[in-house]
Amino acid sequence: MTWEVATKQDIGLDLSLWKDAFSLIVDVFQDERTGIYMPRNFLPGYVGLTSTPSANVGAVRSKGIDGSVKIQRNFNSVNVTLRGNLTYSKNEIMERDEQQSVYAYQMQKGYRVNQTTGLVALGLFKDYEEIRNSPTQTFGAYQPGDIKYKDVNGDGIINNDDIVAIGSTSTPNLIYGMAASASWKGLDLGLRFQGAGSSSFFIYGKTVYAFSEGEWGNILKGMVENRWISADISGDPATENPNAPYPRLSYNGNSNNYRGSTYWLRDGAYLRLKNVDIGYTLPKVMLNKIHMSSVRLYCIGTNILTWAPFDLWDPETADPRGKLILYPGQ
Amino acid sequence: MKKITSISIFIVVVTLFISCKKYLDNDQFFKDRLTLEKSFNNEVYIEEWLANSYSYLTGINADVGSKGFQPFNFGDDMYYGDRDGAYDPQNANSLDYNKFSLGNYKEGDVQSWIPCYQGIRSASIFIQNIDQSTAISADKKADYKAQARFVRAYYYWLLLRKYGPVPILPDNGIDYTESYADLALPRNSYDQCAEYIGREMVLAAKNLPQNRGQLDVARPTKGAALATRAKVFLYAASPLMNGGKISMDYKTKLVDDKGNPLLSIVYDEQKWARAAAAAKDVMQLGVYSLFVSPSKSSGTITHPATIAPPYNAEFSDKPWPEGWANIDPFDSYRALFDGEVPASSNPELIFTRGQNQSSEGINVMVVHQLPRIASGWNTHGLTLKQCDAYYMSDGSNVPGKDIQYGRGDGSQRVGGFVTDDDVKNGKYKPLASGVSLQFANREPRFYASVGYNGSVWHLTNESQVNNREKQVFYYRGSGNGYTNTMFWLRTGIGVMKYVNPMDTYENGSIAKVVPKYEPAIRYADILLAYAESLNEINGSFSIPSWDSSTVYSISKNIGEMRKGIRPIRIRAGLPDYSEATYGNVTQLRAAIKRERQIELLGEQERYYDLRRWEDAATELALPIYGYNTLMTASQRDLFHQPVAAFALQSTFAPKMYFWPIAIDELRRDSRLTQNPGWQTYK
Repeated sequence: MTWEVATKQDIGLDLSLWKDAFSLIVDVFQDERTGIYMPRNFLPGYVGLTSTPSANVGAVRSKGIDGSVKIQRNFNSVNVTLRGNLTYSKNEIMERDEQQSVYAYQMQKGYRVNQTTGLVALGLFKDYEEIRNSPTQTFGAYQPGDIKYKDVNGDGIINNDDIVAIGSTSTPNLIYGMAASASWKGLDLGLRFQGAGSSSFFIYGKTVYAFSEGEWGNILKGMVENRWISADISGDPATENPNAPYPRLSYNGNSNNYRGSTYWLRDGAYLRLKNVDIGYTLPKVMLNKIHMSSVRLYCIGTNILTWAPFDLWDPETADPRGKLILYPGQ
Repeated sequence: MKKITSISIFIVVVTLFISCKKYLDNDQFFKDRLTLEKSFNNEVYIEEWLANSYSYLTGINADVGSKGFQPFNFGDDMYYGDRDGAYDPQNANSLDYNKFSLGNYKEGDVQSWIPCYQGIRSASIFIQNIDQSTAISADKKADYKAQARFVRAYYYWLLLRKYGPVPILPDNGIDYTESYADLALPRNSYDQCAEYIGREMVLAAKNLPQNRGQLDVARPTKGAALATRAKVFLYAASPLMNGGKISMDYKTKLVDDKGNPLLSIVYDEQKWARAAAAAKDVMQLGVYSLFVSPSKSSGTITHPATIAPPYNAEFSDKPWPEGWANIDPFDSYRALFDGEVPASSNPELIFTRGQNQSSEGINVMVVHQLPRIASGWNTHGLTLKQCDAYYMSDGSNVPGKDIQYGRGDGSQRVGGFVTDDDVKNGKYKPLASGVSLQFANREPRFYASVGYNGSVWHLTNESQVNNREKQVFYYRGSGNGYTNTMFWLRTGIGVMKYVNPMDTYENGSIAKVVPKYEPAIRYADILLAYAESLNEINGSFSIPSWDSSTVYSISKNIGEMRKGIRPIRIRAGLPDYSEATYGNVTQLRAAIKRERQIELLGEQERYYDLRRWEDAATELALPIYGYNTLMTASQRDLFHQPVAAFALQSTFAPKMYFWPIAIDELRRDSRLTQNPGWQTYK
């Protein structure tokens, strides 16, 4: 038993030009950790242990870039500062304690830490004809309007062996921010943007699985309008949409539909205008009269705008159940 | 003042040091802080460690026990009727007899792989570390080390017998910090396993004592090590492992990860000679003999006066061991198993776990044999094949034996029943009134093993006198016969072996069953192995004895074969085989197989014997016959006409030669190969 070993490599550039009007810091790094201490859960029986020991077996390599830039300029009496930062990193599990699998895609080795995995959804079953002509799904009874999965290993059966790495990782790989500020005489303006990318998360739970977990009554509006509805009920064949964003309604759970798959996987990327700050500092001349040293009137807005592919709730929370009790957009 | 202060400071400091030392010395409470070095320098810890190495021998790794752990105790000779999902949905996941006998079990069922290897690891660490210890004397050290070596090799034997060839671990153990790919081990061949066990047992035997005291009956002796070695060599010489033609297809499929066959494709006669020599090693120790009970001219109900076998000029007048003049064959065989003879005074018991039995011990087995009238479960029974295998008291076959299989000798089963007058006149002893004459005049082992229809159960532990001495019939409607539950005998034949005259299950109290000593290895088994091996030899072989002190010249020799067979026959009150039988390889082979079937019933032998002989393919595929359990007492003639037991199924497929390895094990060890016919990890 030893310590975990980290080997760090880093090339950095620290640049400042035109009397600090432009400065740039860039780091390119590679970080290799070996001998990560973890329990050995898959020892063969003939080792003969009665407990689960740990050993230095894990190894992870991460690579990335980390930088920030700052531009400062004076246009006549207008003072402008632009800042930006960005961190992007990508890691790979080189070795870990995991069970051997004939399907290399089911190993965590070679994939990122926290890689999301699940089934690949191919839309919803159109009719029984399609069900008959598709590989057998083994997660429970299913019918038209339920999710159809891809037979990844081609054995004609959809089971846990068809779970693959889908999407990205649950924590963002890319985090960036931008800020701009300008001041002119007493007026000042500040803007701050924040963004993250290259992450994904599953949505699940009673919010998106209608009438599950004993819940009844309200369901999401999108589910009312855009789910798959049998033509027998709606009288309109167009509602049997195999690409509908929600499968057919089912009561009290549906073990075929309600499991991790690309159907429920959402992109966690977003960019948002986090702060806007407009202020006016009263001139000193005026203040002197009332014996004050500084007065600033300002107006601040938080989370003004968000651009994100995911629109059900705040993507920054990355909450899979949409139940996190936070003030909206906090 | 100053002085007082410094003195008190001194006292405080000294007290702190003293108390700290004691206070911190708390290893005796926290064993997880023990290092190997500490463990092996304390006599108590050393003994605890060794006991731990033994601890995996019980439960699922017992040699004899009830079906929960030892379904291998049941086969075409004995069956169990409970734990059947067809009768009770609560038992849907249990391994019922039909699932077991149809090969309808799964990889990972009755899994003993892991406990065996846990014992192996424990013993290996003991063997590696005990030498450095200074806490015990050199003599003890040698004995303990030999015990650990014995138990480790014994685990390998249990694995080998059940799963076939297994991976043999390197002597210095396995480093669990290595990568899974480096940890992967392939299976060794059967011969490598057998040789390894043989070698280890010789090393163990060198330092094990010949005898142990009463307190150590469950600890191995020299004989236990050599007897295990003899059994391993006997198996390695048998057709399934030694070039037998019937299982040749199976043998070519049982391979390691490189495709090498693990069972010998080519027959090697010398393996039989090696097996014979190993059995002879046990016999030469001179410490074992068959247990006999003296003959009695008068007796009690539970221990009646000796029923002398029919007169035989050769054996009737001579005292044991040349004849049966002074022994009681029935009692000799019964007392061996029913807990009456303590293990320490049983000269026949070579290895036993004593009474260290699990919740599926022999007493639990007996509870399932006891009739309903004794509150027993009434679910373990014998097949008609087993019932008919027992000889007549003069050594001939029972009339009508195996006619249902077309193997009869032309004779018909005996009709008629014992009458009250017969009993009064002392005829057909020990049968009671109303019993079919088919059961009359059978060899003593029959009466000690078979709970035939109408046999008397003594049940003397019953609190009420009128509940004792019950004659039990298995007619429908009699209370112990066919009912609409799980608890009836599918063949109408019960099991009397292991049942003590005192045993009953009144109020579900297991304390009313006399504890039994497990017959893990019996001298009778070794004697029969000796005869069986010699019978297969045509040439002449020189095999050194286990300790290389002499060289045995092994060749087929009727006198030597008699040494293996005669004691067992005489103890059972039966004449020895004829010269003609001894002179004919096939006849003698068949006779020895039958002898094993009778003598070793319920000792977890036949399941494995049938496989190693390759007889499983024919014997286990036969339908199981029994009496017509749907007949009532008034239809007793019909009851005694054999029918196929409709509730018992049987078949054999080659995949049933060896027990399947769990999928998880195959997945975790990329080099491990599954037994043919079972699912592998992809």
